[in-house]
Amino acid sequence: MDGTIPLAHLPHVLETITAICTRHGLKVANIFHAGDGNLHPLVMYDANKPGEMAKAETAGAEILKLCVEVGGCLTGEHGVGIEKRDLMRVQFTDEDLALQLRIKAVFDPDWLLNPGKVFPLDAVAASIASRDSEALSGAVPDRDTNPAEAA
Amino acid sequence: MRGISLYEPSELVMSARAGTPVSQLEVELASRGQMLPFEPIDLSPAVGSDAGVQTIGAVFAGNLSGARRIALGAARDFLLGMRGVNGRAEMFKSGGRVMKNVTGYDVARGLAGSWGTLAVLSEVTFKVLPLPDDVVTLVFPGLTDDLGVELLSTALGLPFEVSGTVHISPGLVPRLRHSVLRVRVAPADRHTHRELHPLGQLPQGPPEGRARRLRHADRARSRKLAAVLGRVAAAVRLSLRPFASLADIHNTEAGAEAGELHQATHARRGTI
Repeated sequence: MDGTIPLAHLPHVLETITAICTRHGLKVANIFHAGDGNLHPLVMYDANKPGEMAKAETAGAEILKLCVEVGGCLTGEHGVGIEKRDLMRVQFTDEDLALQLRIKAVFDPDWLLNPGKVFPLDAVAASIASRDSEALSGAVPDRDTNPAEAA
Repeated sequence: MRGISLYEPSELVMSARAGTPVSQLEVELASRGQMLPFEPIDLSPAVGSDAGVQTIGAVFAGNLSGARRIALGAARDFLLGMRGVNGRAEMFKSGGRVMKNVTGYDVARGLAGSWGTLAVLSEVTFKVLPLPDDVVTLVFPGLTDDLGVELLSTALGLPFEVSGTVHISPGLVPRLRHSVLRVRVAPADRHTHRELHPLGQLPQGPPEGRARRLRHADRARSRKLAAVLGRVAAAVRLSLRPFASLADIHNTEAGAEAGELHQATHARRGTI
């Protein structure tokens, strides 16, 4: 876990992290960068017990939602990756995500780099679909086209 | 769209609506012993306004950084987050209010310096720093451009925290007879002046080329653009690569003159 929170909320968040994990029957060790509010709760589970890892992931998601609720963010240094991509909607609106995906489309339209990471998969699909439909309808003119002629 | 929406001195963070004058923010920050680390240059007089009307939104949109950039970084390096409107008339946000944040793309940083071409900022969130305990500005009068550059290069290589340098040549300020070179260092130490002093007595330095300290009262005044602009009709601000030689600077000036800068009669050109 890697959520970051404004420091003023530190005591409350640490207590709530323990409460969340206890509710799921798990123990947690809190280590964190005290100076900047970047938390690394170590949610402990027994991989040999069926269902424990799923409980740990659910607890983790609740912790990260709490971080965003108190004005923080999902990840302070590790990155979103695969594990947190579906939580992106907790922090960002559809417009926020669509904007970031349009930036991605400029540099890596074919998703050669890090496919399946950072963004919810349905948002990626929607972004590709809207790009395709814009291309087909001629809504986005070619770079070489004179804008006056394209109209 | 004015007003400070968040200020948490213990967390070194402030949020303000984009139309808030920087001068208002600086007063609030100074009251808590803090500052904008990148020391934004106030360009209001250069566009015919009174000093102090420049907004924080303009500062980040233009990445307007000042003398302290060489020590601490530019405006974009301190922008933590923003809210604004994109080219599709949609509200959007990027970043946040915490220092450590790698959630999604750092769109806010990309917008800094985009001059409003990509989005309109409505609110910005940025990191602030404590004011330095003490600074000393050393003044070296009467140096030629070449000696000035030599001294500045030497000063930047010394183990002091040089947080600002300026070389003012006589053409820049009305009634200025000799060039003036200033170096701001921190933390101040009574040895600092002695270490830098020999630099002021370079072989070709004039008799009046003895280094001195800038008086505290002069510091605030010397930061104001109006003092440099005087009655100049046009001023040009050139951003050059860090190790541009004097020849590069003179060539750029000559090119700008010969190029598309059409001046009214009696215009005096200033390069900042």
